[in-house]
Amino acid sequence: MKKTLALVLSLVLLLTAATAMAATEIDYWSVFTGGDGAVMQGMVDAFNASQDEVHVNHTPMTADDLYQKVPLTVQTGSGIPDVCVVHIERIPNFVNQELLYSYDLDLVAEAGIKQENYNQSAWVKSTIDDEQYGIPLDVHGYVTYINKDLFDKYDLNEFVADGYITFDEIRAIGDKARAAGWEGGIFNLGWMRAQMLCYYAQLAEGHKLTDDGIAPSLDKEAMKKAMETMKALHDDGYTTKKTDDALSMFYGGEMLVWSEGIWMKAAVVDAGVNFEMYPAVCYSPETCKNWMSSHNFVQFADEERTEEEDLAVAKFVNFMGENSLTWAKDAAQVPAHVSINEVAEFADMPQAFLADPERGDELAIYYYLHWGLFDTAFSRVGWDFIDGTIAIDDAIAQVEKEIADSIAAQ
Amino acid sequence: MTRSRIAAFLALAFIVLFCFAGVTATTTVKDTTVAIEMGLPKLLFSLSSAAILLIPIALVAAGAAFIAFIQGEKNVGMLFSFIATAAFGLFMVLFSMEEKNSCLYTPISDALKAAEVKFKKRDVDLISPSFNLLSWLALVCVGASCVIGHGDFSKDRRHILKRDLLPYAYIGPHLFFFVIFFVTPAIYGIYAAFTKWDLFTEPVFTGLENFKILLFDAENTYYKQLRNGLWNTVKFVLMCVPFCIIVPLSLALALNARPKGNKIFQALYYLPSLMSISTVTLTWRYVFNVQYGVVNHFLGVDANFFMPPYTWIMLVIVTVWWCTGSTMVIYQSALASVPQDQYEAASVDGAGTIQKFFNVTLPNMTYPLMYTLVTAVVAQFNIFGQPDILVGFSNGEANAVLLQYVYENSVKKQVAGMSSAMAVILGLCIMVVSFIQMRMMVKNQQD
Repeated sequence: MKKTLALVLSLVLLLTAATAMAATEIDYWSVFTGGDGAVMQGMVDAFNASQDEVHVNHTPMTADDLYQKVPLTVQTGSGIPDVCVVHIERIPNFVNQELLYSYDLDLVAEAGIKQENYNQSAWVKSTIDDEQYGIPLDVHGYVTYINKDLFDKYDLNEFVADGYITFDEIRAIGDKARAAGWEGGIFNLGWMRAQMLCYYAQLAEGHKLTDDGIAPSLDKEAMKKAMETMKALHDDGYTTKKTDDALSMFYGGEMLVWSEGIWMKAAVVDAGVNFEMYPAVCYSPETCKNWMSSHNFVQFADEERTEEEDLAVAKFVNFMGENSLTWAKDAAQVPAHVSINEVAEFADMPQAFLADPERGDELAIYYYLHWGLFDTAFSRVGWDFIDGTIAIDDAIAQVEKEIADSIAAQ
Repeated sequence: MTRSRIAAFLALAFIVLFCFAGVTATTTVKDTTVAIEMGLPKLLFSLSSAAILLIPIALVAAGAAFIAFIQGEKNVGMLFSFIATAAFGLFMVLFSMEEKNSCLYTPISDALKAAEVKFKKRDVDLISPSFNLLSWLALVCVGASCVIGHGDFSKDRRHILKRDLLPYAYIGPHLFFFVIFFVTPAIYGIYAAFTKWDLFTEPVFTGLENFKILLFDAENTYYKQLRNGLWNTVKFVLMCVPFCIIVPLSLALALNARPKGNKIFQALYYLPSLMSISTVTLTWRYVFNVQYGVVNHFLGVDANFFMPPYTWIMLVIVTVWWCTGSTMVIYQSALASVPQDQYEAASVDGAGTIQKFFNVTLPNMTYPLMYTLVTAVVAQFNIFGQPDILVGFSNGEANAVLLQYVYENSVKKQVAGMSSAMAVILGLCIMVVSFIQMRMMVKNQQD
């Protein structure tokens, strides 16, 4: 009897101890599904292995899925993730819909998170009414890759000597390469919205999409010129056609200049392409700007979440910031944690120019309450203005009208 | 007045009282207490609490109880009254147990703002609801109708009770899920069509505003979307439905001749019906690929099937390939039941194969043909996956169908009220077309 009692008591003690030592479980949803998804999972695993107080469960999904699912979890009050990565442009609308909690800056400071440790342009964009809603993981944008072997072969390096590629230089590159017998692609039109916003930012003062923060008020002349530039390149035969597979062409050495996100760098390396990375194609080096975004850690509203879980989230987020070299190296992003600038290895990476404080003016992060509506409306006219299905003036008017009508109907 | 009539009156009283009943909610934030009142009908349409799903069940059951009592079916009436009482009672309990009821949060938040209290959502810890007298009276009425209207439970009459209620035991589970997953969302969807709603906050009733915009505001984006989407949907139905009948009918006729390996062919033809729309469309995406697709390879052309004028052809091929199997088995079954002696008589009269088909086979297949025509039309009016995955909104929205707009507007753009109004208009179109077809079917049967 005594033995049984002792056994039971021991078991109870063991269970109690095990419960006391159990790690705080954190549900983390992210928008990383491709190569960057595997890198992020590796970083989460590294965090889990680095300590035993917090265990993070990572659920990756496409951005569209996440933006549909998370608000619904908040609506139903069940299955709300403890922390999410969202694009910075989405934060104002989430705040407006009361879907996000702001960070308790005293609490997160306990975990080491402080404003001065982060890229300021990204940090302040998620500060709304003096409340901090996002902690930036990175900044990322649409850049220009060149095939270095082809540039050497056709003697095209003079066009990138100053570190920029202008639209005139795209034509010159094409003409010179073709004269030397090149029959492949010269430049691509890919993600139309991202490319157009790069060029729009170079032309529109403050790259504004709105005057009052709510109603759309696009700089029509700037947008028209940006779209006309793209269409002219296409019509003159310097870009891919709608049906071309630009990615396969660049990987296969069939494309000279490729406009893509910095997040594709790892894939380009895997494809064995000898490449160099430059800012977005520009009208002139002096006015060059890149459309940028930023992945931010946010916390959706959850009544059940405890302060202990909030602190666990902060520890995880801080770890991600302090160990973001992996994010830069393997996912080719530009970490928002300033510690990255002290890492010599990062300075040698192709995307490092995007973290150069002296070139901060070249980064254009868009910030608009109804960003989602702009995104959907512009995606509609994507290739249509290029192939002439819709006139450029009509396309711009359609985008603006659709946003205005949607706001009125919400 | 008989007991049945009193019970019927009480069941009806429940519905009437529900329309005027309400709930009072209070909360205290930063030493400020605010209270709001909300009618139960408005609560029913606040679309944000699971407990509210019990209300439609209670109302439907009370309505059924009323009809049953009026017809003298006391046992059935008692059953429905009991369901109504249980559902409404459970709703009141569950609703009161929610600490921060999301239905009540919006008006509470408005009241706090009106009281100039600066707060965040997390500051609102507890919203205490209390049902008013009419709510309790409604519960009492429906409970009383159950007690007053009960039938005869004497031992020798129990078999009558069993006889009356057994059918409902059989259909009960289906009815439950039908009300929860079809009737309730349909009612909410129709209601949402009369509101401005961003999916996350309280819908604002706007009457016929959405329909006015959709039908008459020619400059509005949504007017253009409705016209384009509906017209494209109708075009697709007209192009696709004939093939959805002819192709499976031809295959069924061929298989009915029992060629060698007909079972294998039958299985192969049926196979696509088992696949999801994503699998089907992604497969055909590769088949029609401009550079690497087998279609262009075998035809020796470089046609872009994802651009006009080929897009509709591609969408019809994909849809027919996907839908053929299930329609084909219906035709096979119908063909098997055509009396052989009619074919023999036709042969004796010297009829050829084509004459036999038109004079014997088709007249014997009128009902399955009309049935599949109705179902094909309804199914193709609801086309979504094929154009959405294969062409999206490209080509100047030349192939965008109405459900694509409905989905994008509600889920991606959160313009849910307008989107619901579009869906209601599509639903009405389907109802009108189906009604005409059903009339034709009945007339055909009578002839």
